[in-house]
Amino acid sequence: METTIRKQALFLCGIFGLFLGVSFAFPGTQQKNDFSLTAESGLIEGNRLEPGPVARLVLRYACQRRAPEHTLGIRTSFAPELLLASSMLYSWRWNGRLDYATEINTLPVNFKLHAGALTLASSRYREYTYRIAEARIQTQFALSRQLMLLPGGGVKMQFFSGRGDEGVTSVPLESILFYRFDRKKNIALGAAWEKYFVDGSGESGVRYSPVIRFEYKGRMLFSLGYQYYIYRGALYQGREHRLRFNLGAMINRQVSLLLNGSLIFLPSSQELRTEQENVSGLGERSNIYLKTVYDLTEQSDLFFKYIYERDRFKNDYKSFSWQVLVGLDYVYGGR
Amino acid sequence: MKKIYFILILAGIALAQTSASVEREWSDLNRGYHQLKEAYDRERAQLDTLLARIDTQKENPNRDEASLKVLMAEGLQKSALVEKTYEELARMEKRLLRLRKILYRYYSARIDSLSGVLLKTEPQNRSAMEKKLALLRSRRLYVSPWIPEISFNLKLIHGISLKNADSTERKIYRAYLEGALRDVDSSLTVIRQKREELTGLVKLEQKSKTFLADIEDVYAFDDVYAGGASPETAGKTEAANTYTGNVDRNGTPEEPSPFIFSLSRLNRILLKVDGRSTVDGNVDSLSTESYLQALGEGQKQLQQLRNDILSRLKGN
Repeated sequence: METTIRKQALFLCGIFGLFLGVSFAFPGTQQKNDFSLTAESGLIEGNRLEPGPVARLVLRYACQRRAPEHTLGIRTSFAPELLLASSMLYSWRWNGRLDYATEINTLPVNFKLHAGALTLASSRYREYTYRIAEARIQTQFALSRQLMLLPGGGVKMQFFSGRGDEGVTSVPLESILFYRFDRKKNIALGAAWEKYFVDGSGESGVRYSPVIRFEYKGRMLFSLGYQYYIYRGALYQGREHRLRFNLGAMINRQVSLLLNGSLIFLPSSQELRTEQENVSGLGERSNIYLKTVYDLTEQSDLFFKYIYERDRFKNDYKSFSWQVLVGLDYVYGGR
Repeated sequence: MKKIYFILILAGIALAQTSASVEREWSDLNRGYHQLKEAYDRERAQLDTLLARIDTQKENPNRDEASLKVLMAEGLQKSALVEKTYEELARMEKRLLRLRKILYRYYSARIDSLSGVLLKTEPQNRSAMEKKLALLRSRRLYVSPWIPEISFNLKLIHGISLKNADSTERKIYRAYLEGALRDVDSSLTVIRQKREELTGLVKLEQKSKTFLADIEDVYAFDDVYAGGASPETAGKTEAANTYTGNVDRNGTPEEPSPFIFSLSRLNRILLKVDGRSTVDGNVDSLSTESYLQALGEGQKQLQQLRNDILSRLKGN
């Protein structure tokens, strides 16, 4: 356990060190800071932990330094969450992320480095703490005006409990060919591969999938992505279909409607996974997020969020929840 | 201190001379280029006629081999000449492009510095300075990329002076300027509409990204390549080269700065908006942000042209 915590601490120190290093490397660059505050309140229903009203406050800070060839951005958010039910429950989530991008002027290559960590923690149930830390390199090679190759990869560490004794380290790699039909339509085709190792047990597995994603940007935004995952290895052997969609439309000058969703299906003949065998997916899972945004002022938005989530595992465990949240977004520092 | 002033004055004179010589070279070369282009077109037409004659002779069963040989030799000679003229044209084109860039930068720098000085100038001296500024702006427009498709002649507009024209000329010029003004105004209206539409789209994209980031709180970086890695940044560099027109014959992008928006490209965008022209692949390859930036730059330049036309209409 100590080793895991040490690894995590080292990783975070590395990210911080990198941020400081690059900050000092480009001291005379343009800087843009954003600070946003979001407050939400609503209801959680279904058979989740503790159904009831929820109040959530999100503080998000984004800072971007920009030089002609380099961009360095740090994004972090902290969200304390209070569930007001039969017994008081509060939890918090912290998401820190560092993005660094550079362009090589002489070559049509673009290089990006993302590093970050996310913690979801609850005050009472330490077993529900989830942590993730990841570093990723993303490169872009412009092959022509319309065709681009996007190879990328990194290291990801996930911890499924507050004690940090259940964890998975994985190495995801992917290579995508991006083709722009015109200014409005583009398609991405490629393959993703991920090798994962269970901390402590020495067990390992691999999952891979073809990737296809279509995007349309006209009077409205639309994107649809599909992946067919194949799992091999000691942990789990199976397949799953994943569909991701994203829709955005402006109803009028002030009102926008945004819809995001992710649907995971298992082939019918296949046995559903148990919760313990969870690696990076959770059996059959669907979630749909709908957000209506009203522009109040240049700096602030009022929004309504509708969230629907549904999980299904082996041994008849089913879970679904829906939330209606009303919130206010305030951005300090300009958009 | 005196020495420094002396050096500065000398440097100023040297710089002024340089810009004057560049202007002269640009003007001479431009004239030469158009003359050579005419000669090239003429030679090309002659070569086409010659080739047609050779083809007719070849198809004739009772052809005279000796005269065919003469024709072919003549064709070969003509073809070599056309090739040579083309090479010369390409060389001049390259040099013109370079000079145009130098002059554009020079005029832009002068305009920027004069605009700064103008604010601090006393009102009585302002008029002369404003005239100088207008002259510099019209010169800059002249070295901006050529507008072949717009229905009015930019060169002619810059040559019009109502002050020195007689009554008939004034009438014709006025009608021409008013027509050009209407054309510019209609283009500006289309650009404004298009910009408004695109600004909405960019805003929507931003909201969508924020929403995705909220959801990614759960998925962290699971979706980096699917959502966040759209090649906007790389597209910008590429697009900058695309709409500045700074791409040479081999397709190698040249230095993209200073940002010169090609009005001819803008013209294509406008025509495309109206559905009057064929699809321009290069315009389509721009990312939304770059396209918006391009429209903004185009609007600025058209606004400048509008001011120029207005000032000529007033007789300045």
